Amino acid sequence: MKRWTYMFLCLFFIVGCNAKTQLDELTLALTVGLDESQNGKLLVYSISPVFNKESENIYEVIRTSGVTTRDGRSKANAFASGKIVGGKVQNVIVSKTFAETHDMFSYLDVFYRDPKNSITANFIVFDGPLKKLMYIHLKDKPRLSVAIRDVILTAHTSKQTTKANMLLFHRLALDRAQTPFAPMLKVHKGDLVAGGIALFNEQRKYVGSLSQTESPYFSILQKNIKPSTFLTLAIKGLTKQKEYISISVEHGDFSYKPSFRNGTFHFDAHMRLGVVMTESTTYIDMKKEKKKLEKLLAKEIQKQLELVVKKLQTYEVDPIGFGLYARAYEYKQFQKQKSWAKAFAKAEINIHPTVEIISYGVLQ
Amino acid sequence: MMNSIQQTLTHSLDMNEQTLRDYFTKTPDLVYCHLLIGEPKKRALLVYLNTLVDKNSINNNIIDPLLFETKQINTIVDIQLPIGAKSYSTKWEHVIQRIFQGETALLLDGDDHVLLLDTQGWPQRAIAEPQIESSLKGSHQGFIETCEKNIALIRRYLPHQQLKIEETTVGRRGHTSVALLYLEDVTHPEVLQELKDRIEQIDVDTVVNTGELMQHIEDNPFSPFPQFLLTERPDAAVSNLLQGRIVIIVDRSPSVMIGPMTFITFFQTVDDYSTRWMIASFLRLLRLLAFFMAIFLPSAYIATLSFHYEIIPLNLLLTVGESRERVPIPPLLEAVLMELAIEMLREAGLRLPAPIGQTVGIVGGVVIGQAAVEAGIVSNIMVVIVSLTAIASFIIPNPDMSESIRLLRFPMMIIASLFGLVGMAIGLMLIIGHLISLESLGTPEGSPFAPARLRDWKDTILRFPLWMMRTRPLSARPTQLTRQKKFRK
Repeated sequence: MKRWTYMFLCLFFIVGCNAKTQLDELTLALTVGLDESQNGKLLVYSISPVFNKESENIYEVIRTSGVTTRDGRSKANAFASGKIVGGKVQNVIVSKTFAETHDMFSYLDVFYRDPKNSITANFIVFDGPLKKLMYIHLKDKPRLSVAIRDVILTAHTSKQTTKANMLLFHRLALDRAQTPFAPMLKVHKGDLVAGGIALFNEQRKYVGSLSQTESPYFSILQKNIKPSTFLTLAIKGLTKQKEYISISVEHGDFSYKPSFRNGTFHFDAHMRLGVVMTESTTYIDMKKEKKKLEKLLAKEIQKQLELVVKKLQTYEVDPIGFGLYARAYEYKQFQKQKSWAKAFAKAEINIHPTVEIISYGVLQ
Repeated sequence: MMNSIQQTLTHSLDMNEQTLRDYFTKTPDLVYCHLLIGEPKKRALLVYLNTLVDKNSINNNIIDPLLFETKQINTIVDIQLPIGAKSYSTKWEHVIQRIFQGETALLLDGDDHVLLLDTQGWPQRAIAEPQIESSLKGSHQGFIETCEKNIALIRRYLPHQQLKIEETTVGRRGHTSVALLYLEDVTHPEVLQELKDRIEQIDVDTVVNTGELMQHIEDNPFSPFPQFLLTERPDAAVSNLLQGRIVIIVDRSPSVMIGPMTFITFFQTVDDYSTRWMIASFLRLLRLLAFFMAIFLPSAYIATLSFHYEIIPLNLLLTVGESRERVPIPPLLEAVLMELAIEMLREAGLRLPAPIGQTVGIVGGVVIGQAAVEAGIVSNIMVVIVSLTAIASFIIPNPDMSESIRLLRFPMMIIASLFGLVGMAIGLMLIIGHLISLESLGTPEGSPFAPARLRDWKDTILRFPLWMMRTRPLSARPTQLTRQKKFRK
């Protein structure tokens, strides 16, 4: 018995070594970009860091064309100084035009199927040809992949856009009651700008987008308020002219009530928002006019939210997940719908926000 | 050798002296002092080893009274001397052994009895502060090389009749005296008997040091972990005595051995009990963290860089990548080189006299620090890891345990370079498996974790307030559990 144990141990140590992935011998693809060339071919970009101090660039961009994403990467191995691996992918970027014409799943499949690839990468839609982003020259920024990630994350925290990693995109695309969305990125005057939200339909194709100013309202509808959502609202009614008031929404109570009447879905979305006033362009006597101001703010917020919902309905997408409520409360009717997105487009959605000013600053 | 001379003394002083001279050849430090004592004068012989006796005591307490003796001396029993410890013997073997232990033999003409007088006085060091285990709040007295003094130090803490001392000797040539100290009403008799049996079986020339005795009697000689505690501190010894453990004092060695021990006790110090419990608990957590860091940090570096680059956060990965870029050797070699360098530095500094030892530290610090990185041999991160590991291994209070851990690091690095984190997990499992199967004097070393004894966890990873620890730990199988009464809520 003992001899067998020793023999087993010896054999045991012969195994191993072939699964090694030495960090020094790898080219880490931190960003993968997908685009279409003018003659309809798939272009695969990959950005990886270069650690050699003698080289001028701190990252390299490899562009290949291929039939599929993995095919493109295999070809890229001919250029790269080490084996390309996707275990640390931070961003997967597709161009808007590419996303408009192609089902995303057929190109993202390799990320989901191959467990060596990271599925926590951010999924991003780029407004414009990817060439513009990939060969951008950022002087005062870190490596491009890190810069893209940081820009998206910062914009997401301040609710200028949203955030969707590959896993979330996958879940939303497969859920009958929801449609996927992704943050938008563009290059403006040689700078990276993140803002707006790309909307995908049930066929995983890009159909339209919400602007940067609509993004915070999208967040509120998503009940995603923390840490705080900043809004600047134009209101009329306190004084004669138009006034601008900036608020930061600190917390909110939501209740979305679905019902099915006369062949359409109805949603009553009630929300109580606790806000802090951070700026006002006019003098307001808060002691007297707080209640009135709260009502005016609520009205303006309601207007904006309804605009966002309308836009979503015209695109026939439901990234917020009203479908989840419909499925939970009106299951039979939900199941009868062939396409939830179509039903959502016809649904009647009433939004009733109430605003409570919990603080109006240290002035007065 | 004893067979060549006679077994017992004769009545003739000349014959006895001849026997001694035959036996002690080439022993220039043996003094034969002929005296005429009593009225009428009778021949007597004083024999002692000049190097092992207290000369003042011999001159003042033996020779002086004997010279002025006016009584008639017929037999050796008639001699009265102002020395407390004395004995009579007729056996040569006994007499010679006593002479070697620094006693003085007084032979009288016409008597076959020898008077053996306790005049021991060999060179010994004063009681000083322990060097290896220094303490902030504990006593500053450490054990020295004399068994009696060490027993005295312990007795000062435990003036109680239940503190029993059993003396025995080990070694054919050395006759090293070994004393077992224990509390009779607490220590389990089986454990004590086991220890006694093991000591009895030792058949060697001599044991020079406590560490040697430890290796002769430990349960598993193939384990990297110590199974007995060696300490220089009397307060540590007493605290263990009170837990039902046995203290073994080896004459001529400044550290005493304590058994049976548990694994976790090697991470505890006497200071833990004299600081407030929250601070002591924090320090214990720190030591446990250091234990894991000292074993696993270099191997984790190797595993992540060779297999699992995915688990490093991106920003750290970029830093590591930049730092590794110029290094021409694989992570395993890099880590082993640096670890060996630091072990060499440590060993070099240990053996050198203090003034040169500092130079080694500085030179080594420069070599394994910035210079190696600038030369592009190792990466910055590796230097950080090696230093952290070294510091972590120094935090562990027991030097034996610290050394075991430093050794274990190397197989862990190899297994990590072969199998990555899976290998590390296997290594950890092997270590844990080994630890819980380890025994110390037949009691489980993994106690109180395996076998789990929840009540004893009060004094393990955390140190609960003293008034909550009302029972002695079960690991040493004490026969009397109550340590203190409930006197505080």
